[in-house]
Amino acid sequence: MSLDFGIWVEGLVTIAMLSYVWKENPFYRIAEHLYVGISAGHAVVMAWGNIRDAAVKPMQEEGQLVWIIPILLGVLLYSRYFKGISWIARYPVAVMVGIGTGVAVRGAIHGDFVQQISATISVGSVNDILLLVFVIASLSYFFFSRELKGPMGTVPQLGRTVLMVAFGAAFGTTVMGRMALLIGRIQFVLGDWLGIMK
Amino acid sequence: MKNSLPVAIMTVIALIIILDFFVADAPSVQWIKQSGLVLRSWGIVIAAFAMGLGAVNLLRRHTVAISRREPEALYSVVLVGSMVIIIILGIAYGSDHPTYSFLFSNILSPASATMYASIAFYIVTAAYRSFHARSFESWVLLITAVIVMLGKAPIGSVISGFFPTAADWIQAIPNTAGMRAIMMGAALGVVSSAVKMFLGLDRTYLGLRD
Amino acid sequence: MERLQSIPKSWIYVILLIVLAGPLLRPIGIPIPISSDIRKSFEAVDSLAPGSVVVFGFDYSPGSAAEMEPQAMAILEHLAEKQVKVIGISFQAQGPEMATKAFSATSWAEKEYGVDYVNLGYRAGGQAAVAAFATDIPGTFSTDYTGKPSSSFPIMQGIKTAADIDMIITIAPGQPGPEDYVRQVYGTYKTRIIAGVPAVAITQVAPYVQAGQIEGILGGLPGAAEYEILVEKPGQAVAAMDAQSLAHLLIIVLIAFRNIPSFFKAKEARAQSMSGSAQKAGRGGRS
Repeated sequence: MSLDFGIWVEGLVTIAMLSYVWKENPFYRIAEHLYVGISAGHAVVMAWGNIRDAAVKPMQEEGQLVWIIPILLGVLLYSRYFKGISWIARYPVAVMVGIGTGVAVRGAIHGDFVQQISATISVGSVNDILLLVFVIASLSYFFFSRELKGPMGTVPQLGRTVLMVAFGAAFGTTVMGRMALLIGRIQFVLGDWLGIMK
Repeated sequence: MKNSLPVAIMTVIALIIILDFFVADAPSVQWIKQSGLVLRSWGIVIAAFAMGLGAVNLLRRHTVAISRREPEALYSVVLVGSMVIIIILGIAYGSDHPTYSFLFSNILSPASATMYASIAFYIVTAAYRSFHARSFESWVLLITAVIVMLGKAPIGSVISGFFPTAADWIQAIPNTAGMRAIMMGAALGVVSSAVKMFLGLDRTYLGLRD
Repeated sequence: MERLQSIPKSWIYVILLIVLAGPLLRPIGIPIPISSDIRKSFEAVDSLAPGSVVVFGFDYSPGSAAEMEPQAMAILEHLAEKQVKVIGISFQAQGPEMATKAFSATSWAEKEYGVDYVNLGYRAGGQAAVAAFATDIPGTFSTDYTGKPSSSFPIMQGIKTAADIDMIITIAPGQPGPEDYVRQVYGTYKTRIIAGVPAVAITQVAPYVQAGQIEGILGGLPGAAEYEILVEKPGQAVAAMDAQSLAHLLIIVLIAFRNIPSFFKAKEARAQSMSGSAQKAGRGGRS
């Protein structure tokens, strides 16, 4: 068994958080509030580091006064807490959304659409042909909101089945991931804390 | 003006960043590339400021709970206290201060890891209670899940070489096809919602409903 | 048969704990085969020449560390052996601490900071920050995680854009993650990408792998275990594999308990009305 104070704190926090599975209780609530408080505080510290290193330092040390603009926009985000001037926050939000939208659109068009199509249509083996057929079938399932009759109806139906296979695979891998996280905690309790693991 | 100027700003910025990606390296369009670069670096600073909003909201909520001496105020004291301590330590001494590291590694880390780990209990009971196959498609889903679970863990290859091979094939062909269709649909969704925002038809991001 | 469908919740929890803890206390030693995904990733990293520069994205947090940290450590060991240089970055606020921990727990602890490796810390903004990083690495990460100017480190000399990087390795359970590196970096610079993803995300990144945008992936804890074997440093992930296998078997058995009785019942009562079968399902749903 470990004699390290830090390991003991870690162990007790682990048990407190795990106790929620049995029933909500004060130990869990304390650990939960510590978790939220520390992670929110850590985010503030990291954010401050970003502002200091990316904007304040270049302004102070290299005289790059242009950084006053993003700093001002950032400060204006907090106008939302003041009645009467809360509308000012729309401007920094507009800038942020503009940047986010621009980046998302260009990434989606190129990486998630054009390159995916070119990867689908470059056919060289039986599996490639299957992939092409399955992609077309799955897309047809999304695009035809009305049920197709006759032989054409089998295409979206195949797409639906392909999607079920994808969801089944996703379920299998989700189970795999969740188990891994719990195993990690058990390894800590039995190994680092209690010292009974081989 | 209060409403339309932010939409115009948003649209111009988004278009500059989109164009920056697609224009060539010709000298005549260097201003687009340069503007895109500057805007993205500003984005980091503004996003950092935005991260503080969450902390402010939490602080406002919990300080109110403390001042009103609500029944759960003790927990709010814990939350506000831990948040203030770590912020002061981090800003005054840096995140490599021993107490900061202790709070991060010995409280935040195990709490966060255990919170996610406890989902395992729920997923097992959920699989047991709800995974009831009643149609052809639900059987397809179930059988795929079983093959993947066996194929992706070492036990699968002990039972039969079929499982890892089948799991790899499922991942590479039907799963890729299904996920790619979803991804392409989502990409079109991103573009269409961007167009709606550019045209001012969707202004919910500004807190406006119309 | 009906009893199999109504095991109490608390029993299932206890059974799960026993199934996971048992093999950790008494390992069975189920052989771990190497999958093609992991071999491909290993070979990609192995192809790096000594002195190559790799950007390592510590894009995970303690919440997902059980899956992601063994992947990061196994790849870091391989990189140390290959004598490449590693620039650690993070687009996840808790990532810089993960980087510090991973560097100090691997062979990198003996290497020289600033010359062989560096930890440039975190940048906010998600996908937009990834895009900024791609076109201007020293500008986006102007300092390391302690605030020292990144230009003062020898490792950063000559690094301007993602074109100057030989490979990006991102260990990311969510976003920003490999998708964002593909969209914002690979799209322009065609930089090689290896992605360590949690099991949950294996199916989501598969299209990028098939399209060649991501060269190789490590999926979940089994991915880490296989990599540990390839670098001949079996660790936490290898030790967990027996438990992982038994956990999967347990779930499969539970799903079978749930479905096999009703499968036979459905055969017997095929002629019965739909409402009758719905009632039975409802009863089975409680426990």
